[in-house]
Amino acid sequence: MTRILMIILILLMQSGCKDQKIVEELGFIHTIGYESIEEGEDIGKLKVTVSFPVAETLKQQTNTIVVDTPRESMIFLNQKTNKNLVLGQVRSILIGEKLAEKGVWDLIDTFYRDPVLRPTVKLSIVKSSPQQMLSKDYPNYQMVDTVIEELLTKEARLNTIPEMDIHKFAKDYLDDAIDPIAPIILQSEDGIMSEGIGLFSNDQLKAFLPKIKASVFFLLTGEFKEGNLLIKINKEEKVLFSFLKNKRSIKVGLNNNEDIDVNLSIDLKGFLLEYQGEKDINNEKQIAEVEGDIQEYLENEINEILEIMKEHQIDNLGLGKYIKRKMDYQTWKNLDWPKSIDRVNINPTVTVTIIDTGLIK
Amino acid sequence: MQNEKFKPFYLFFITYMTQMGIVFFSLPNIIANHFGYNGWIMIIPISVVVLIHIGLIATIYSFNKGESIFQTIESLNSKAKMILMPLYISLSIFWSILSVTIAKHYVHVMKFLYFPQTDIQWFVLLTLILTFYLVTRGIITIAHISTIFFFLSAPIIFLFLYFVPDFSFLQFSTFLFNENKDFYGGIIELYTAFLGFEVILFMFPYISKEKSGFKYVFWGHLYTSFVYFIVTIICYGFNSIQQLTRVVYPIVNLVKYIEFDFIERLDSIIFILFYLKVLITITMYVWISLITLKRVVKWSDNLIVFLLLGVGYLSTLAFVTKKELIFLLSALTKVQLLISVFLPLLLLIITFKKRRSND
Repeated sequence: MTRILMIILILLMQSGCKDQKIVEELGFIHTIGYESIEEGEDIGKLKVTVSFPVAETLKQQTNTIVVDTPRESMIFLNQKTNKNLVLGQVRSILIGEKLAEKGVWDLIDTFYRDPVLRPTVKLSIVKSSPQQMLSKDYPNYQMVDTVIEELLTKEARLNTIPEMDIHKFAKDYLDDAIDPIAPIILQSEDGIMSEGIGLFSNDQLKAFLPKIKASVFFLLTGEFKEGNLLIKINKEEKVLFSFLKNKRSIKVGLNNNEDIDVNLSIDLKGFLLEYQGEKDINNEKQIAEVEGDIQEYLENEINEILEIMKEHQIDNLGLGKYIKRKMDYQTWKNLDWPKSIDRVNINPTVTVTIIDTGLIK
Repeated sequence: MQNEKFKPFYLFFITYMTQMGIVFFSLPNIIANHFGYNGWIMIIPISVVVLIHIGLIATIYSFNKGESIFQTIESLNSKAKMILMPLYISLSIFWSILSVTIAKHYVHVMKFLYFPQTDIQWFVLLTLILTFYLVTRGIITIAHISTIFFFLSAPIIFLFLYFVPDFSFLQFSTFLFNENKDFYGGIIELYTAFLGFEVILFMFPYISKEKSGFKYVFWGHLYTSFVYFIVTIICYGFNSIQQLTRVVYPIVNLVKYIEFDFIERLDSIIFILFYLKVLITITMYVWISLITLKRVVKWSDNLIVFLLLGVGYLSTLAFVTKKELIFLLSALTKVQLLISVFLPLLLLIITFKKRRSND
C-alpha cells in the first residue's frame, strides 16, 4: 500500500510541472482602472489603466491603453511591457464615474466569469479619471495602488464607505429585492480620499451620498457596529457621537397588498465625546434635549436618503427583502420592485441614548 | 481474492467517497436552477428516498446472508448464465465508460479553473494509471485507501465556518420552489448526485459478517446528505438566488472567497484534494465492472482492468468540450440510476422466489 501511495504522490506532483509560471517574468497586476472616453476621436471607447509592482525598483508601473472591450486590453497592454501581465493577483478595480453612469455589469461580468480572478476583488468608483489617479506621483505614497486598497479596507471598517467586491456587487445586482452600492473615492491634492457612497439602479450609478449621509446610510443597513458620527445639528451646534451599539429593525405591514408600511427603527447607544453649542451637557434635562436634537437630525437625514431613493426608484437598502418576505410570489412579481418604492410609506424612528459624556464635568 | 474480507465500518468511507463526485461543486447551482427559491429543502426528501433504496439493498444482504449477487441471479436457472453473459459484458463496459467520463469531466473542470495549459487526455491517462493500481490491489486496499483519503479531504467541511458571519437568512425569502425550471427533472438530477451507494451490492461477499454491519452504509449516506445540505444552505444564504442560478460552480466561488493571511488561493488546494475523492469514485466503478466481467472470462485481473480502462478511454476519446462531457455524463448517470433502481428490485424478486420454492 505504501508503494501505491508513493506512486500516487509522485504522479500527482509530476502534473504540477506542466503549467509553469516563473515569478520574475510576470507582472502581477494589482489595480485596474476603467473609464470611458468622453471626447476626441476615441469617443465612446474604453481607457484601461493597469498598475503592477516592479520588484527591481520597488515602485509601481502603470500602463494605459484605449480599447473597445475590457478583455482586449490585456493583449495590448502586454505588448507595452517586458513583463507577462497576469490577473491572478488583482486586488481592486477602479471605475470612472462617467463609465459607472453608463453601466458596469459588462465589465464585472467579465471578471466574475474569469476563473483566475477572485470574487474578493474590490470595486470602487473614481470621481474624475482612474488613469490620473494611478499614474500621478504622490509625495506621501510609494505605491498608490496599495494605498487605495488599504484605504478602502480601513474606511469600510469605519463605516464611511461600503466594502464592495465583485461577489457582493453581483449578488445585489442580480437580486431583485436590492440595488447595489459602491464606494466613491477621489484624488485630492496630496493623496487619495474616500468620498461616500454611490447608489446604483441595476448597474448604473444614479445618485451619490456624501460622507455624513453615508454614515447614516450604514445605520439603516444595520451594518454600522462601531465608530463615530459627526452631527451638525445647526450652525452653532455640533456633536461628535461615538457609539457602542446600534440596533436596527425593519417591520413591514401590508394592508390588502396596496398599502405597504415599512417601519424602520434605529436604536443608538453611545458616548458624547465632543459638543459645541449652547447647551450644558452636564445637565440631565439638557442631555435629553441633545438626544432629541440628534434624533431629529438623524430622522431628517434618513428622510433625505429615502427621498433620493424614491426619486430614482432604487432600493439600495434592501427594503425589498423584507417586503418580499411578507408577500406571496405572484404579488411580489406584480409589485415590480424597486420601481414601486414610492408607493411604500417608510417611517423612520430613531432613539438615541447618551450613556456618558466623558471625563470632564 | 474471494476470501478477502473487510470490517463493515469501512463501508462508511466507501459509501461516502463513492457518492461524492464532481457534482458537489455545482450542486447548489443545480438545485437553484431546478427548484428555485428554497430548493435546498428538496435534499431532505430525496435523501430519505435514497435511504429507503439503501434499505432495500440491506434487505437483500440479510436475506441472502452475504451471498454474491451474481450467485443469487444465476441460482435462478442453471442455463441463466448463457443469457446473462452479454448482459454482464455490456454492464462492465458501461461502468468503465462511466468512470472514465467522470474522470474526464473532473479533469476538464480542473483544466478550466487552474491548469489551462494541461492536456486533458494526458491527465485522464494519469488518473487511469492510478485507478489501475488501486483496482488491481483488491477491495481491501481500496477500502483502506478510501479511509486515508477521507481523512485527508474531510476537514474541508470546517472551512465553511468561515461563512457564518456573512450568512444571511434574509436571502432565503419565504417563497417555496418558485421560479423553478423542470422540477421533476431536478428530482432525478438530485437523485443522481447521491448515486454511488449501489456499489455496495457487489461487495456482499467481501464484508465480514457482523451484526448490524450494514448500518455503516446508512451512516455514509447520511454524512453525504449532511455535507450536501450544509453547503447548499450556506450557498443560499451567501448568494442571491438569481446569482446562484448563474454561477456554474458555486462551491468553487465560495472557497475562492476565503482569504487567510498565511495562504493564497486556498481553492486550488481544496480542488486538488477533491481529486482523491473522485479517484475513489472511479476506482469503485471500475472495480464493480471488473468483478462483473470476471463472471464471464477467466483472465487475470490486470488484463481485465487494462482492457476495461482501454475500452473506456477509447470510447470517450471524442468527447472533449464541456457541453459534450456534460451531455455524456448526464446520459450515463441516468442509465446508472435505472440500474441502481432495477437491479435491487430484480434481486429482491429472485430472493423471494427462492425462499418460496425452498419452503
